[in-house]
Amino acid sequence: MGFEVETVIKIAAYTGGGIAMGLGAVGAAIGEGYTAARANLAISRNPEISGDIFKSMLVGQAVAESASIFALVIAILLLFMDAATPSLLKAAAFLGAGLSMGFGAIGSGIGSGYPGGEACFGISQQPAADSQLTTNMLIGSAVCQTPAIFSMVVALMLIFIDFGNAPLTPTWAAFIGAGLSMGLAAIGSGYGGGLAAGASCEGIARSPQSVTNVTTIMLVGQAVSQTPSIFGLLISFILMFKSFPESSMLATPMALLGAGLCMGFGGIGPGIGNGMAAEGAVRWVARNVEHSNELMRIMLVGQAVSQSTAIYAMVVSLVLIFVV
Amino acid sequence: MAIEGAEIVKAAAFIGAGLSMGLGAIGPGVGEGMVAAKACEAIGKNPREAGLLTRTMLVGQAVAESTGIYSLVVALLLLFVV
Amino acid sequence: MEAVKQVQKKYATRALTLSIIVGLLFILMGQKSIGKGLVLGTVFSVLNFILMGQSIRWKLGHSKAKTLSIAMGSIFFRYLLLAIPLIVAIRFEQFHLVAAVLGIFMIQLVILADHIRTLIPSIRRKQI
Repeated sequence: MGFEVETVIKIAAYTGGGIAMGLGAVGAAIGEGYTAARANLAISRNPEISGDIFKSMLVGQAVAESASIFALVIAILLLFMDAATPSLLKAAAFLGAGLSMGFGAIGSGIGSGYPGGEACFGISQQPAADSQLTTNMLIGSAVCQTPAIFSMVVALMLIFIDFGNAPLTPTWAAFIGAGLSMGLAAIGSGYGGGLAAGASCEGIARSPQSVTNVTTIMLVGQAVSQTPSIFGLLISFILMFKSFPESSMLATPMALLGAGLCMGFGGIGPGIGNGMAAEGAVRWVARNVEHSNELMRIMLVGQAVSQSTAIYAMVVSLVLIFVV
Repeated sequence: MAIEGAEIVKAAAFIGAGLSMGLGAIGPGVGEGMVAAKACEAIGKNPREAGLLTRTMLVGQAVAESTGIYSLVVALLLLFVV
Repeated sequence: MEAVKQVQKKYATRALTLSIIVGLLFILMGQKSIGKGLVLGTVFSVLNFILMGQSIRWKLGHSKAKTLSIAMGSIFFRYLLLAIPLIVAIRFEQFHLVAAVLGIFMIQLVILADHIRTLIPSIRRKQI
């Protein structure tokens, strides 16, 4: 190879940092834009309470922004940290860290904008429920941040853990695969959790007395929507910590890369689907509180079925890692 | 290292298996979620028909699931047969 | 706008007080770098939050092009501001990196803690 090891590491770190911040800003931008748009609509409907609406917009955006601040932290670490043990493996780990954080912040950023927007709009319709709406919005968007936090954990591990002298050839693919698996799988969960939280704010604005049931079912729905990103976390941990024997074949690294891609993409759909199911259930619990138990049951059944595709994806990734 | 043709085929099959299952899971995941959301809406409107609606939802989801199973089959074929 | 100002004041003072108390505790326990890193991160987190609210006011009442440039400028400026404590903590040993990272999320932590505190008794009351 024509480059020095240090140069390759620097290239990987700068690319990773760029990916982390660039992609990481996309989600928060869309989400906060949605919040601001709904807040505008809310103020035009009810200008007398514009102060309250601005207030909850500001607080909601401050929490929704955390996803992109996570990305900023990782990007700055990648740009300014010096690698403790320079090796080509570290270069792959830096790239993987950037991919994990960059993709991982998209879903959480978009998702946590929905509760903010719906809460602002809800305040304009139901100014008396201001404090319940703000609280529910913040809890909902905080839960949306969990996939981004998982991605940050994976990125930090890839940056800081010293992987010693693991063989370069299959391990580089394992690190990039770990980043892709966590990052992509976090998109669906973050977005889905946001759908559920948005619907719950809309529901509370419609019937403030059902706030306890709505918040409870929102949290259950969001927790189930996080499962695909937990699968992604699991696969990326396996990829990071399993030691792979050295091999000069092309097929081995490709299998590990494929495992990461499989779990990553496979987590997107079920995450969004689970979120949609939770959204439907939450919306109708607010309109029909007496039947919240039936709605909770059918939401869980629907989510379990929609989860199955994520489980297939996990099985295929495990086969790619362990059998092949 | 000298890479032979069979080696490239094997590597492409592994990446292909990952992409097949991964991308193939997006559609059914979202679709089944939509079915569940609509079922919740229907039960919210008409709670007495909960049993019938649950059954209908499960049938609809099973059909939507089939594309996910196709991609699982294709992925396993790529892994073990090619 | 008065409500926005009050919210900013409330959370900014809480975050600063909390970080100074916790930071002092760490410094008294001999972990000087942790305490300093935490306070450093929090100061920039609070600055970011205050600017975020102020920029709403600056954006009102201008032409579309001017508002757009103010909005973009404030975003770039705020992210540059948040990068400062991180770079300082990486470059200088006196500031603990992890503590500085925790510090730049102090505003978010304070906001969430405030609302979780109001949520728990309200749920408990409903169930009884």
